Amino acid sequence: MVLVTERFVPLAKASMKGNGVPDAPMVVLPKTELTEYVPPETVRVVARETVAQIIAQLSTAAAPNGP
Amino acid sequence: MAQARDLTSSSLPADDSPESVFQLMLDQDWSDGLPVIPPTPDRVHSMVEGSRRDPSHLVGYINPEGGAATVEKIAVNAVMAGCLPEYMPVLIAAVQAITEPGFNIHGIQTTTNPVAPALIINGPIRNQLGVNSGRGCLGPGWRANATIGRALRFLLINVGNAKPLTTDMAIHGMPGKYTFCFGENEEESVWDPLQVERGLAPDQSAVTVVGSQGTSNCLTLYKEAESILTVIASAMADFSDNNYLLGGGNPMLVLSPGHSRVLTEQGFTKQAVKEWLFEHCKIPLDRIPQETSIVHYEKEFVRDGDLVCLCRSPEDIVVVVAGGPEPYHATYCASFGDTQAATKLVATD
Repeated sequence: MVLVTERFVPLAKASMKGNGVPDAPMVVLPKTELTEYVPPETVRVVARETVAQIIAQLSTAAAPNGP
Repeated sequence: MAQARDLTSSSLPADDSPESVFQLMLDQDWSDGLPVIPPTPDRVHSMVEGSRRDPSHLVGYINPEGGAATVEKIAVNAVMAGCLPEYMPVLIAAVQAITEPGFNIHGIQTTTNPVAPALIINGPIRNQLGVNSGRGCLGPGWRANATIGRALRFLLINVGNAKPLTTDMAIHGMPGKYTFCFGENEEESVWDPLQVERGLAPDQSAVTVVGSQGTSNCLTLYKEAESILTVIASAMADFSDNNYLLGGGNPMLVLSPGHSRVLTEQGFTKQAVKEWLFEHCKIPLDRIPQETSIVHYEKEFVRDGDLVCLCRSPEDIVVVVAGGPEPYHATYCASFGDTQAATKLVATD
């Protein structure tokens, strides 16, 4: 699972290719200004949404008929 | 011996005019923004010949994308940069050095920090290739310095796929990302040269790579050794440098031959210089703001009680003697922090 902020997606894809996992599941977080420089409650919301996305992606990947 | 037909790189049709070739390179994201020499099969073949290696010989994988730096790919980028074929052994050693795991080329290529690999060339090959290690060695005007450093940048861009804006995430970058290559002034230094300090013989040629953030000048118009070192320490003891934050790396000091003479005359060996600077660059912890956008970043600090150290040990400070003879200016290059310098022998057989 690759966790990456919005602006770093092309870099993440290059790194995934370099590490031999070009098709690893990916969850994209909002850009830096919306995560590091915001009130804690906003970060908690982002974290909850992100965890839900991670679970959804891993569940899909693990399903017998998943992509 | 390999022939031009042995090359495997794909080719693109291009107009003969320099402007058209330049535009093609820009359109393909293959350039650093400056004009290049077209890497025609004949030119690449001549460059491969300079390596005395097969074009398919693999030298290393360059991250972030893990591109294969074969002799042929190194030759293509060397042609583009304006290198001579006899520079190839130095470039091959440079690629070997940057792909050492401890150098952390992935981090150096992709960080928001402006870091670039600084290449220091030692040994007889400096003079054979015309590498400037004297006055102005970090400036313009020297083909070997300019094009060897530029060729490495092209390899980082084209083989490693560190493209500005998308995969090279430097907030500002710095001019050393165009080229950053110089020789050590071994003839005028009174100390052992860098490659000897790092385990090689004086008659062996070597390339050392150091992950440096850029250059900062230190005006050292003083006669006493401790005055000179005090001024230099004032430039090095800068908590805004990554090496403090990340607790490591190789802060690099480029001293003039005059510095090595004055310091030696007053009892300072190169090691003593490193130890003095290490001690005098410790920063009180309470001078450093404790709030930050990075959680628990202080865990990375190298601590000596309530003091924060420049790097892990005095030995991690790289001291190189280069430039003009007067002890008027020193150049300090702070470190990216998460990197260890690497030295590779230049194979000339």
